[in-house]
Amino acid sequence: MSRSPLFQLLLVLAAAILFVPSLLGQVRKERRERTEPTPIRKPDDPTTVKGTWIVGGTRHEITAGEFYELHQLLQKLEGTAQRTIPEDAVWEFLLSAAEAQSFGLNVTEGELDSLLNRDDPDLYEGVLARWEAEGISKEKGIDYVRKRQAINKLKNLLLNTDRITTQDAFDFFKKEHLLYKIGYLAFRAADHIEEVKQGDISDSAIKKYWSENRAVPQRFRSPSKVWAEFVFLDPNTFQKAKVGTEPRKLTREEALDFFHKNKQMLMAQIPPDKQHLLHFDENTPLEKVVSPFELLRDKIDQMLMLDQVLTTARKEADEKGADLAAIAAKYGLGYKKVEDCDRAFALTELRPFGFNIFTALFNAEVGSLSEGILQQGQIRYFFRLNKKKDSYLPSLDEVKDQVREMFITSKATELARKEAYGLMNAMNVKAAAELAEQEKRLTAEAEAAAADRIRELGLTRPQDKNREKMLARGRMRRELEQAKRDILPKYLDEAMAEKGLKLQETDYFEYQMARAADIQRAQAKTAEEFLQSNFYIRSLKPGQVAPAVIDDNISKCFYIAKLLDVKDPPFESMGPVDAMQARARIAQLAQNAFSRRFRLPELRDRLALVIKN
Amino acid sequence: MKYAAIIVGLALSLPVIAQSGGDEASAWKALNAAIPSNTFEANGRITRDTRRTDSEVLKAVEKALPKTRGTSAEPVALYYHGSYLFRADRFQEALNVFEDMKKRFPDHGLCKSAPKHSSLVDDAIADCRSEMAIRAKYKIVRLPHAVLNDKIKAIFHTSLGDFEAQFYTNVAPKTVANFKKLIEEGLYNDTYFHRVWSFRRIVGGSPNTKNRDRRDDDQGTLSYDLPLELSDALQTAGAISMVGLGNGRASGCMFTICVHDQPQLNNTAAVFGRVTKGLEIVRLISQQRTDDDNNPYDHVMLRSVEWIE
Repeated sequence: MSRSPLFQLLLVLAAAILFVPSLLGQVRKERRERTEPTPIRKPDDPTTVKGTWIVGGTRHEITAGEFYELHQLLQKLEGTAQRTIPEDAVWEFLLSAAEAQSFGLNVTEGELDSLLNRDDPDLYEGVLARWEAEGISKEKGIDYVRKRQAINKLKNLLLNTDRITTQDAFDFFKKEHLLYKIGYLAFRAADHIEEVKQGDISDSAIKKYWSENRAVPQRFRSPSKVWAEFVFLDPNTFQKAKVGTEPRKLTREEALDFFHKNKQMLMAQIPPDKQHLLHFDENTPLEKVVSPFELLRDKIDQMLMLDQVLTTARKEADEKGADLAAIAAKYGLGYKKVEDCDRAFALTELRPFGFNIFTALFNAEVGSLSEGILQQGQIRYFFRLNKKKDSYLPSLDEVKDQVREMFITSKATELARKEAYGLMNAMNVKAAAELAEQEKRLTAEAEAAAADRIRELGLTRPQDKNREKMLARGRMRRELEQAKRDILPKYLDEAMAEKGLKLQETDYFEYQMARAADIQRAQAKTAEEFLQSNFYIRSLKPGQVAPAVIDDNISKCFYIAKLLDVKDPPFESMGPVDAMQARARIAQLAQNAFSRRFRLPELRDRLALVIKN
Repeated sequence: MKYAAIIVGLALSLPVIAQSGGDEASAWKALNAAIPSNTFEANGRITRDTRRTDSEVLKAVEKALPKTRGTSAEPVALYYHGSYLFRADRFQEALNVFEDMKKRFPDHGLCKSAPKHSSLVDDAIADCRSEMAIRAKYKIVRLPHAVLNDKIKAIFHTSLGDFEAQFYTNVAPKTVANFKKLIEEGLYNDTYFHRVWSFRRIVGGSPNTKNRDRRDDDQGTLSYDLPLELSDALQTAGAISMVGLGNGRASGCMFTICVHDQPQLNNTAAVFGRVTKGLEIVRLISQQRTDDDNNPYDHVMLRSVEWIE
């Protein structure tokens, strides 16, 4: 057998074509098998009670035979050959209709006339004929229509009469505007500066720091820079460019040549409302057939003439010492000057001239213009590089004092970090020891729960079983995490007593407002500002400690934080716009959840449904 | 004498006939015509019937009420009546209606509690009492209801296409008048949308964009700013508002248009108009590639704005 790579690739492809579809089919079959409802069989004893429910204070029941007949009716009226009406849907229909009836939502004969088109004998006869063909009697058919309409009336009643009180709005509002109070320990690098200065900050230590940390020298590198001027033609502003008092007439060949060279750019400029003119078929009259060139002719002429303006301007600019700003003004062209421009600045300021404009500038000859007219998108331009400066990396001796400061700060930060993390790790170790037994128990419970669920759902595929196990383990870990958070405060108190530390406290603040006010870490001036926007805070319950150290790498500070209290905002803090927003949100959520009211779980609960078999 | 007796008998029975309402069919017909008729699809989607305002429905229900008296439609009609009175902030009247229902129809499904759930009427009574208690304790301010004026519109001509907007002159008269003035003066002509957030919103109207120097685009202001004319119009897709300055005032010229819900703007910027045609053009503008400051690399020009009245 050939071992050539091509042959092997063909073998793999053939295997994929042969086997993958059947594998997918197997997956689809299993998915279908799992989700398709169990078919409802004719009951052996139709007189047994299938289920009972209470509505309007009265107990109702239905026999297995009646339930089966109802299912058959719904299957004929609402199901298809591919879609079996599940048992749940039958209960939902039955109970919703019963509820509608208990609310007195009658359907009159007049409404039935309209629903069944009884005023049009042909249409009505058609409905009856369809029912007859399905084996549905007229009485049963009308009863179904009556019940469906009653259910619609019930839905209308509930949707039209929903109420949102001011208390509802405030309950919603306050969830997003709770007031938090934090206690924290701050471990600051600044507190260790003196300690570090007492240690080894000799020249050899600084030299070692400089050579072993590659990022440190790079902090002092000054980037390459350019000083340049641009003269450009922007089609968005070319109406203002001066074409000249005697524009030269352009030939069709010149225009066609320009069209072919710039086809992609030009085609993008055909307005959307003219695009349809380019599409024609055998029925389109000849005089209405247009080509892209014809549609763009005026624009091409204008651009060519302006291009000539740009070329003329470039010729003038090519003279030594030419004033590009004046030349651009003379011809009505765009002008831009950059000074002391590095690559990062060029990426934003000079973006219209292309991503690589900085490289092009830096590689150009100082004092000379760019080669010819350049194009980027719709913009055509030329530039002159006036000055450039290479990137420079200073030696250690040149920046020794600054590096020494960096070294000291880095060491002090490390000491602060060690202190904070040391304390947190010690607390976590003690908590883990205390929770070891609980963890064993929770793990065993999670495994048992997963096994039960796998059995209950009848899962057979390994990936489905693994998913259930993972979900159970996830629940277990979350419970354990909460247990850890509940006992951490005890160890924090012990550690603080041991080290003579005391929690500092913030005032009450609103988490949401802190986020909305964009108190970014870089802008936080105080510990309070920094902690207010930390996501850990929202996940804590009052009295709990954040399970990890919160790092502020800008201020070089490390926090261990404890949520002291959470309280509701004052009612007056909910303004009219907030109330309006809350109401709109509640209404949206209620509408999204509306259909759940008519699903079996809620109906079962509300009407005390008991299904016997 | 005989005729006099007949006439007297008729005259005496007229109030009774009037009070007994109509028959069942006409009672339900009257009630069905009064209430909104929503559409419920099999996939769970709901299309609400918004052809009439709540106050119009309340009037219609009150008109249908006498016809339902003495019929099976009466409790349902009363429930609707109480609910729409609640929506009209007439809580005491609503409470009276619901309490009257409980007295007169204690065994009706609407009034009867289930084993673990209170009845709909009991819930309604509780809501009325809660609302009345809270309003007795606090001053509740309701924002005015915004209605689009369909007699005026503005057409925005951009380099990506046109879109149209109408305005809430009833709640934001100063903002609309200022906007109209700036359009007529041509301030927005030949500017561009200088900040865009993909699929969220766009900002335009800065006169500084005319100098094509993006560094000062955000500072485009006039010598004055505007008050925030807040209403119940929310910052949802299509909403147009003047850029909020954060101090209860709004920019005199820069405006923002939402492509998608922007609830964070509700307190800081007042909606004074809405895009009624061409929202897909606004969406397209929001999708331009931008730098880190959300300034588009390629300008989408606002060539001109037409005011049509």
